[in-house]
Amino acid sequence: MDHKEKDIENFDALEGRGDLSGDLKDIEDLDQWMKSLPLKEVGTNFTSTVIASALLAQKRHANFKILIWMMGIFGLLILSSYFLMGSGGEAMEFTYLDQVRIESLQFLEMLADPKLRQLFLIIEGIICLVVIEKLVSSFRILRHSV
Amino acid sequence: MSCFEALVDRHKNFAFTIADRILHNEEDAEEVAHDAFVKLLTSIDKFKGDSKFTTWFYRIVMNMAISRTRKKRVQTEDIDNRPAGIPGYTSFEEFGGLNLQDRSYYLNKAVGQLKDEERMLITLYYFDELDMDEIEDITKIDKSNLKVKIFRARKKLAESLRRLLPSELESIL
Repeated sequence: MDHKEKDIENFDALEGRGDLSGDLKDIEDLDQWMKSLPLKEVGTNFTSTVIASALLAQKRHANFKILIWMMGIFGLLILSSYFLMGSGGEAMEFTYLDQVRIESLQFLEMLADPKLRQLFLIIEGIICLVVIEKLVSSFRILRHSV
Repeated sequence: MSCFEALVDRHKNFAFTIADRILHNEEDAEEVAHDAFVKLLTSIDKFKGDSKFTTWFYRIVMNMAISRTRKKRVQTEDIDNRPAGIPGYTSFEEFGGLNLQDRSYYLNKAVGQLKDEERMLITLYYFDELDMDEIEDITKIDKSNLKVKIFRARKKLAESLRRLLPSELESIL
């Protein structure tokens, strides 16, 4: 019988599933003493500190999720604009922005009137500012935690 | 949030004890327990319910404590260096006669002499809350290996306690 099997047999013997030899008596005593060790108690303000940190972490976590979604949406918008232009070869030309404007105007006119379009652009601008703010604050948090 | 508060109150001492036995440093252990609860709240959606909640949570605590030990080596103290007022012992029978507080002092010191993995297994094994299946689930070590490792760690722990005997006799002589 190799050492491994012998150790498993001894383990089972101590668990009460086999005969306990004299050599294992010390370990049996040790088991009793170790099991009687009391649980250590944390400091008095532990729970409130945890709650405060957890709330902050949860907020950061939610913000991070929003940021990822926003970036995803922006990425999709950029990609769709790019492909609406055709092959994308025009993107390298100086007239690209003009073409985008003309193309998007035609596209947006189908969807809404000019006032609503302005509103859409304002909302898009605000979202862009929020994303920039989130990126800057996430970068600061990351730099602080490192 | 009141549910989370109740959860923290219920498990805080268990989490702290696990971390303390692995790290052997109260300050670091409290920090690990704190961070584990914060992680618990932000990643509760990852808990699928395949295992018991305590198994899942203690695995978080244990992993965090282990990664802390890797960053910061655990300082082991000389077992003979006991503070005034803690009596010595010359045999296991005598050790058993010590009061709970004195015995806890020696046992914690002896656990501190073990290697990281042994300390982790000993901590989990002597936790009444956990059975072998749960320990297997937490450590991801198969059951037969787990039995071997735990048995050897217990043996080593008993030897650590016994190592004190000759030095006590020498100090008497």
